[in-house]
Amino acid sequence: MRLKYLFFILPLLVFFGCEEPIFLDVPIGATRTIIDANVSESNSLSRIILSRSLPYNDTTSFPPIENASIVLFPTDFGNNTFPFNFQGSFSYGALYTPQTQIRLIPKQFYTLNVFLPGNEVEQDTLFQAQVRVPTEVPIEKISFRKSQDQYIVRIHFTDPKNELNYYSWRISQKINGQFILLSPSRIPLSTDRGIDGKSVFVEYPFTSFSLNDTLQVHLKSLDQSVYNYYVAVNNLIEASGTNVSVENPPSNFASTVTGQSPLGFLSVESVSDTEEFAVIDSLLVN
Amino acid sequence: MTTFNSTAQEKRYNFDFFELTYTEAIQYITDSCGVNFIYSDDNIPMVKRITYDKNATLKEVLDFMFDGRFLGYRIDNNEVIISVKRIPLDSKEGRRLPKYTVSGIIREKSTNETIIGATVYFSDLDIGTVTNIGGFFSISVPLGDYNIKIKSLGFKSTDTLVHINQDYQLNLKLDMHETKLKEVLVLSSNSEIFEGVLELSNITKVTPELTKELPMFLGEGDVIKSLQLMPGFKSANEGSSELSVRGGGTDQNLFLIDNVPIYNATHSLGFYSIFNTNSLKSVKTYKSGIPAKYGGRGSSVIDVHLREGNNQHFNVSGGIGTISANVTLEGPIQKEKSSFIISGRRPYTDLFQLNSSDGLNSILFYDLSAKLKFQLDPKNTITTSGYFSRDKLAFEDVSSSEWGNNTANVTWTSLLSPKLYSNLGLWYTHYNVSNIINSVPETSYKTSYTIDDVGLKYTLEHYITPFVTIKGGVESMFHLYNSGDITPYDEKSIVTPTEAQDIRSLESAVYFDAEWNIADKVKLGIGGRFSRFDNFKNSREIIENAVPYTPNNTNSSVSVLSDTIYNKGLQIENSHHNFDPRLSISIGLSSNQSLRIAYDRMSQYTQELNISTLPSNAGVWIPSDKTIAPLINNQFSIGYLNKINEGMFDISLDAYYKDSQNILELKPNGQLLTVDNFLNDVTTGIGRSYGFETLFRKRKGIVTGSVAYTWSYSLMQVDDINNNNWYPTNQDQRHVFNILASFEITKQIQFSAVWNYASGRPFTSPIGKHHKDGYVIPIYGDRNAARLPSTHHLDISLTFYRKMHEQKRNESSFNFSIYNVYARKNTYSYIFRSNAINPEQLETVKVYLFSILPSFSYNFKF
Repeated sequence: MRLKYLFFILPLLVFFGCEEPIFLDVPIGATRTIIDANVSESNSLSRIILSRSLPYNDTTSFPPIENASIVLFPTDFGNNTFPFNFQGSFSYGALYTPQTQIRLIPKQFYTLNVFLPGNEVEQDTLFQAQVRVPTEVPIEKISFRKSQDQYIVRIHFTDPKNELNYYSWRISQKINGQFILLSPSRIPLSTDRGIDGKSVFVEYPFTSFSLNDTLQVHLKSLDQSVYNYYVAVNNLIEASGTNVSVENPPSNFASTVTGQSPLGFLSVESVSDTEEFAVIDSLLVN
Repeated sequence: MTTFNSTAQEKRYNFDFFELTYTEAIQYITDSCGVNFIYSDDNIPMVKRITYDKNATLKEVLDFMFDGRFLGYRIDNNEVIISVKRIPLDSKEGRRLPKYTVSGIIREKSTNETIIGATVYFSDLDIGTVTNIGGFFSISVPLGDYNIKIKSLGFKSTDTLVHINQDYQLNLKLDMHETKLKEVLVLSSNSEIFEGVLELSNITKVTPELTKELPMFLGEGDVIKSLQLMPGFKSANEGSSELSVRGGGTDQNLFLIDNVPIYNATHSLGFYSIFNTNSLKSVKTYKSGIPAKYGGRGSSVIDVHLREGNNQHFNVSGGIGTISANVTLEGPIQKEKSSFIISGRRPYTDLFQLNSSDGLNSILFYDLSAKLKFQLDPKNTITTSGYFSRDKLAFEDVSSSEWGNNTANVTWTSLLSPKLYSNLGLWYTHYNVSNIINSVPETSYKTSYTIDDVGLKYTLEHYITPFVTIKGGVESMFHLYNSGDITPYDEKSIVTPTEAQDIRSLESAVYFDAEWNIADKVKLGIGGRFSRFDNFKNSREIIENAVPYTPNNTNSSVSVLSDTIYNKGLQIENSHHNFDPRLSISIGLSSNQSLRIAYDRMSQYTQELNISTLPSNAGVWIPSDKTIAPLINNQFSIGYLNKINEGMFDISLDAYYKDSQNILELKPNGQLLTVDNFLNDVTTGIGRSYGFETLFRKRKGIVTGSVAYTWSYSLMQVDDINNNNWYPTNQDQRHVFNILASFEITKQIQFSAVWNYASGRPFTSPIGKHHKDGYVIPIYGDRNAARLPSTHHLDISLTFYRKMHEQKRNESSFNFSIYNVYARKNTYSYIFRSNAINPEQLETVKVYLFSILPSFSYNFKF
């Protein structure tokens, strides 16, 4: 409901408002550790990014945290572990990917340990979060809606009956021979309220594709807590301003050091990936 | 008077007595001057107290005490003989005198409509009263000849001489002022103290007609925006018709249209109020000293009454403005006996629909009101009225929203005796919001959210003596909240319809208000309201595995539906009850000054939860239940009034402190996913507000106007929010200035100007940023710890009047207004978002609404 109402509030300014970019001198808060952990069996999506926050008006890259030890394990079976390796630093922080192919047990709780070794001024810190693996919902087919000369992707699936399900979806596009995960203007989200147990589709309206584009589609099932986290993130992406109640999204990470409250969330997701396909081929099949 | 001893009379004495009764003062003078008084104890005022602190002659002090209105005197040798001109009402004999009731109805001359709040003042007795919502007054006086002065805002005063030797019916008609702004702009009844009536409440009145002469916003006169020029009434945002009164939330104002509560009093996301000025008779607001007959909201009452229609002639009136047009038809059904009025308003905004590639953006509203009045006989009247409003907002063809209020009521007023007035009302109000999401037709849906209330209220007013009036009554209202039906919208939609639970409750109250003139110029108001709120079990009760949110248990959650139970009939599940005492005392310090002290306790059983500070339809009203306790406000206030230079100027100073319990708030990161299961999304907190208000007015002359200033704080504290620290509410604004000036260029041309200054509102400032999944997201600091810049703007208007017929029945006026003359780009809000060119960077965008905005309005009456 919150999202839905914001949908109406923001365009108010379309009718009445004028905009003017300004520089606003805002206070500088304490530096926070950021743990952005999307974990799944999908090689396209599974990764962890560690970084530090920046002052609001800072224009530099996000400081990476490169020396962390990261391991994922089923909460009740601590011996079946999946370590993550540091892959490199980018403008958004340090990238860590699974050392081995992750295999998740549905409905099982998983724990992520992020250990940051200390130095002369900081003590060792362990961040820990746990979340449950949701039911995987397979993609049944991909179809398209024509929008002028371009195509909007539709993802078809059947919602599992009698349980609350939460979804997000992403698309990778082959650009210059490499698959790039596209960044939509907001995180696509849906629940099964009103469509419980039905065969439905969702759209990816953020990018229109041409016939020759090659894509891979990812449908993510989310835990309720992850969905709530994404809703909170979307509220800030879409409506961040002084006219709405703003709050930092919740974090499910706890810290061994008092006062070291990280931002970010552990999301262990059940992801259904399509094969790589060209839009034109898919249209011919349909 | 015999002047046998001129030396004694010319001798000056240092009189210095304070608050003495007449008997004590006489003794004081006897001791000081060595004179004897001859008088009857029965004729000396018992309760009136006098203060005299001057170096004066005996004659001067006697002239002060015995001014000839009630008692005179003469000096004979060494004796002062008190003579009785008229027996003082507060003397022993005065109290024993047989009294006769003078009662009647005050009406407007041209339309025969009753006038609310007119002052009926017996200058010879120095007592008076005020007409009630039916224009009725009643007062008991001894036998005698009296001059009665009748005054009301916007009308010419009338004096009439009457001889009272039995119960007397006095029905009078007042004529309207031709130029409304000539004497007063927005009058607070507080000043009526000087006309023999001490007001117990802090009342601000706005005459709807006056709004047509003030600078307008988009060509619409708006009584709520006029009210915002008065101290203590703040706009929720620039250009907004939402009200925040003394630090209370915008949901804490009881808006009544003909005694029927309204849940959303704004159009077009707050830019207009829902009140069409042409259909209004009176707007009376209470900030403190609130009578116990009002309840259900925490901070204020805005009591609006619709016009009843002209029962003499048919009239057509209307107006055309920059944005909208309105028309009103009225006339007699049976001359002198019954009348009707119907009034409607509609904008042309749908004609300015904004074309976009995907469809149309539109914003539209309309409202309609109608009222019928039947005078069954001189003692019984039945009125019925209805109000209907609708707003529609559509964005391209993917989403739209509609909302509106409908009300209906039937009221029977009856004069049971010249001293006993009764009012029985049956009413209904309906508030509805529906939203359509149609981004994908196959999953498009419509949500609807409704509140239906049915109420019954019976009030008795007993004007027992000139000094005591008792009003009491009972009321009960049944609430039905249907908070979120989901239905498929497009015919292709596969969305399963979901029917929300109907949440039912009954709110009942019994109340009394006693007004007692305990002494000359001292009036005491004692009121009490016992209210009860019963939650009934839902007839179709959905049981979910929900863990309610509590500050200590942040793991609240919604799980799957576990069961559905069907409950028969009305089974009470939970009850709240409260006793709200209301106390006020008003003291006339002198003929020009008064002091008013009040305590108000207000209970509110349903609160609106808003996720935005923008006025919108996005709020959801949530009733109290077993986990949400009602909002309780306790307010202490004190006010001082002073009239200067025979009413040329007046000044009022008010201070208040208010504490609040159980203010409803979203829990940290609450999302209100389902309205019928909100236990895990909400929490409550406490609040406190305090402030100081002052109003200085120049009420007479070519130039009239007012300067209003409010200094205030409004804070709240909610566990788990802002680290449990107190933080400013969205209504917290330190300083608000309003300067209003009006200049009568000629009888037909009026110039008005309003300058408004307001401190910036609080907002939650970003203090950093982080990266998440391709998005750069601000990190926010303490809630409402930063401030938007202050705003100010100057608005002017020029109003031309034209009388088209000598009998004054046909007239027109043209108002040309400019909003924000010096085109200041006042900050409305900030937006923090990714830069469109470089999404890796955040940008801050200042939003301003109106730099300079001319508008016009033409009003006519035939």
